[in-house]
This record gives sequence, C-alpha cells and structure tokens, in this order.
Amino acid sequence: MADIEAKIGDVIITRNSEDHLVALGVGSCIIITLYDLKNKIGAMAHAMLSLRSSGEAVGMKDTRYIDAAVDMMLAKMTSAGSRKENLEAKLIGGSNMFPNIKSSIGEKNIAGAREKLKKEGIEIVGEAVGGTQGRSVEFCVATKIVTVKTKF
Amino acid sequence: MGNVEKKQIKLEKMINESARAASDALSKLSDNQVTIKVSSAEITNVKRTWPGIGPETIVGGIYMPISGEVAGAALIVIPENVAYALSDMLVKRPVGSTKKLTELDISALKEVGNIICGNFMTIFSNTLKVKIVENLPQFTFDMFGAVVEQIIAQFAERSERALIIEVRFSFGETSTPGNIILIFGIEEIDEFTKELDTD
Repeated sequence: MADIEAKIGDVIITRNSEDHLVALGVGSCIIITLYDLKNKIGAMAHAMLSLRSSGEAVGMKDTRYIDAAVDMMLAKMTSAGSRKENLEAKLIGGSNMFPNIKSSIGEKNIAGAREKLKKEGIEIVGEAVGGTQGRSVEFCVATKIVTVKTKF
Repeated sequence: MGNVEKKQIKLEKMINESARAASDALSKLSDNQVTIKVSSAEITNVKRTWPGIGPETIVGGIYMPISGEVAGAALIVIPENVAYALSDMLVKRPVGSTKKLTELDISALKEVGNIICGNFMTIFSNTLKVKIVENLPQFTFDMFGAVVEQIIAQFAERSERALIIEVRFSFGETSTPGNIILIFGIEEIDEFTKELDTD
C-alpha cells in the first residue's frame, strides 16, 4: 500500500488498488476525487482557485485552478481507458478558516467545482464541504471509500 | 555588495526595529521583560510545511487583514506547544500548565497578535512610506495547511511570495519552546518594499 499525497495544484491518478490518495490539512482549497466504477481507476486533484475567467491569460495547465485540474484529471483518466459516464465524484474542502472575515475563496471553490463537474456530466455522490474546519482526506482506491478527518 | 544583499540588510534592520518596538509594547502590557528575537526574515514563497510543522500539525493562527495603500493580510502562526507556553507566560501561570486554550488564552493571544502586527506595521509604514490600515484580528486553532491556505489562496493569482519572519519570545529567563511565524502577504510585495531598493 502506498500513500500518495496530492499537494496544491497536483492531479494524481492511479489504477493500483493498493494506493491511497491523500490530501493533508485542507482549508479553503477543494479536493476533487473521481472514481471509474468500471475500470477501478481513482483520481484526486488538489485545487486552490476557482474557475479561470474567460480570456484570462493563464496557462491551460495551471492545475491550481479547478477547471484546469478537472480537465487534466479527465485527460489522464481517458488516456487510461475511462469514460465520463462511468465516473463519480466527491468534493471535500472549501472551508473558511476565519469565519468572521469576509472571504469567499472557499465558497467560490465549492461552486466552481460543482459547476465544472455538472458541465462535464459527472455526478457528485458525496461532499464534505464548507464550514470552518481544516480537513485531511484519504481516498482508498480498493474500496472507493473517501475518509475525511478533522482535528477533533 | 550587490543590490539584493543591500536590500536584505535594510529589510532585516526594519524587522529588528519592529521586533524591538513590539517587545517594548508587550513588556509594558505584561509588566514583564518580553523579548522578541528575530530568527530569520525573507521574502519568499509561502509553504505548507515548515521544519517541525507539517500540514496536519495543529497551530494557532491569528489572521489580520491589511488595507490602506496596500491590500493584504498578516498571519501569525503559533505551533500548539508554543501557544500553550505563551499563554502560560501571558496569563502568569506556571509554564507547562496549559493543556487546552481557554477564551482568556485566546483573547490574550489575539492581543499579542494585535500588538505585534501593530508595531511591525507602524515601522513598515514609516520605513516604506506606505499607508497601512490594520483590521481586527481573528483566531483559529486548526491544521497548519488549512490555516496557511487562507493567505496563499488570497494572493495566489498574483504571487505566492510573502514577507516571512520567524521569531522567538522570551519572558525574562524563559523562552518559548519554538518559533512563531509571521507571514505578511501583500498583493504587490516587490512594489511594497521598493523603498528598500533605494540608496
């Protein structure tokens, strides 16, 4: 079994059922997991920023952005034999760690991830989003179970 | 000596002056000799790990938005054991007695954050000739990665660089058991510090 950590901007896919994809200490960032029910391929992206504005001069491969991260996940999974209709998604994160401060980063990330996945026609089957706590995430590819841990 | 080295020397001078001002203010507040010693200071990328601190390490985070002629925020990161030791010193308990932060402890830590930021910002404002307005501090106690993301994400589209200062507190003969990290995230950090480029 190997723990593979997804840091900010990382997109990881695996078809090794012994792998655990993890993201540690996630706050306003959003973790997107995709699982291919047919081919048993798992993927995790750790995105920090919501959707790119149209025409924005950023690299297509800046996977700190949700839309670029999902595009990258889909490209990698398709190359590995996945089809969109066999994928299911889970979302974790999007917290506001300092609730008395007006910050919409987490909310925008949640909305951005939902919008992008809807556009791609991928069903979201589970969420642990929002709130004011940090989270750590572990995605067990063998069981497709995503475990979310908070400090208490 | 190159321009980079000259700027670093000026930066360190400004920060040491800020630390002395904050030490004086805290000494008056606590009626004790408080010394804030600067371990390091540099403008660099904000990281999600630090020596001895991983993304899941529990830390206290004091976050203070900054406005005025600059947009940004200050984040003070206090590792759990340091927060407990600091609380003991601030509320005059025997060192090692705090195992969980009370409202009083949090209030004291926020006040420390306020004083540190206030003194640093005053010196920064005078030295860099930039008007800076601080806002009320907010506190959280959670995983380091989650806390620091707040400041990384805020400015990530422009830059992930910030002014990062590590300090250690001493109360009389007793020092905190580790460093406290001060992160000043300013949207245009190079513009903010351009005054340090001049001779």
